[in-house]
Amino acid sequence: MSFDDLFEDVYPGLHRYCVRLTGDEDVAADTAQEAFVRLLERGVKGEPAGLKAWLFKVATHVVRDRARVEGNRARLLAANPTTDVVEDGTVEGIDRGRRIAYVRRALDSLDERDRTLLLMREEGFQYRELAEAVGVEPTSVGTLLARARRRFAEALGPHMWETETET
Amino acid sequence: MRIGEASVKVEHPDEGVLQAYLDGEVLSEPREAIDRHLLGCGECRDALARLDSLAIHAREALARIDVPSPPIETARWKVRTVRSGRRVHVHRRVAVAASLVLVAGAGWAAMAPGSPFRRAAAVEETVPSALEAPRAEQAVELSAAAEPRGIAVPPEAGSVNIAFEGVGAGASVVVYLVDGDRATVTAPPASRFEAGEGSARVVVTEPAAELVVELPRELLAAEVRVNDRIVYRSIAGEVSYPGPAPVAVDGGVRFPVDTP
Repeated sequence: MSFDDLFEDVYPGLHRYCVRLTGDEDVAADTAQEAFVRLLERGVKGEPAGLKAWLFKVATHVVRDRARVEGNRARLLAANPTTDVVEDGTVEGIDRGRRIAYVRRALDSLDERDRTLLLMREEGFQYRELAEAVGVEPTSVGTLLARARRRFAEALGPHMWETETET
Repeated sequence: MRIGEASVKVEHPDEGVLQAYLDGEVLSEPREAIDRHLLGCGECRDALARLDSLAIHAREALARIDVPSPPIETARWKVRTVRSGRRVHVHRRVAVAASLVLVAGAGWAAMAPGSPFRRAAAVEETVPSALEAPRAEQAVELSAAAEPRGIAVPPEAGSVNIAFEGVGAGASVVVYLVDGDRATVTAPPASRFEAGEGSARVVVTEPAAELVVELPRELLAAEVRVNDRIVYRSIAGEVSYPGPAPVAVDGGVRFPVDTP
């Protein structure tokens, strides 16, 4: 598999993961880019699955480092919860913005391990890879993942069950 | 690691085991034992259904915050550009025509054959020693040869002129506006680069190459030629495309090259 093939295979999912992790489209694009740059810079080689896991791990670290530098994003979001998510002035746009804000706040309320498990599992990682990413035993992943999803659902409250078609 | 026999309690598997079962992370033998248990245990079937419902709704909720991924080609190019030692800050929503002011003709004479161009200090794409040894035939080789090379071009009197030569049909030239004080040019590694103050000449040997030009927003002048044909020009803030009609791409414009 060439670098181009790897990029094509991994980039969309990595970008989605970064958007979900950061809540910021530009930061997500920069983060996904940074992960691939480091892959090239360090000449990391391996099987595609291993490289994918490596890229997600690096992206997670980049986001964590950035958060440390820029301060508590959750606090900023709490102070101004919807300015970055309301897409337009229509009822549908405002409604969508609110739905997005609920999900982002719920994600922000999770601790880093729960958030990483939840989001990386959505990108198709196996328990072994999840365990390595968050530093736990593989046999603990099922319990932790179930707990993370439950906490996410609790944080979302009734908004967990909303669909795009509801008004 | 999958959940093995030793870690499975067939009598009312705990939540973690049920979650692993649901996620296909339980080996076949204990899976069959759980299958048998579920047949006779409504309590565990309900627990499994709750976990399944949580997973489905979490997935749906997360999908609400998704946005379209940037075009693969553009994203890959940015990675390679940064890898080449240059930070790119292309704002996605900036139109190329928005901010360039051009001074016509400046410095172009310096591109003539025989001019005292210095050989550009193009970034060498070296791959450091591997952190992890490749395994088997599926290993990904991050080939240095596959990566483009780039040069930086400092403006002269606020003007930059870029010329590509030997460009084959099927190639394309992409122009971006970026922050910074130098223009940059990226081309396949076999290309020959020459650069001086305010100008650069790139002789391309690879067909269907992707050629990328980044122009600082604050330039006073800029011009891009392909095979001695002007494709991009801006004078006094007015951008013109004397060659083939460009196509808007993420943060820039792309010019097809239809004739060598």
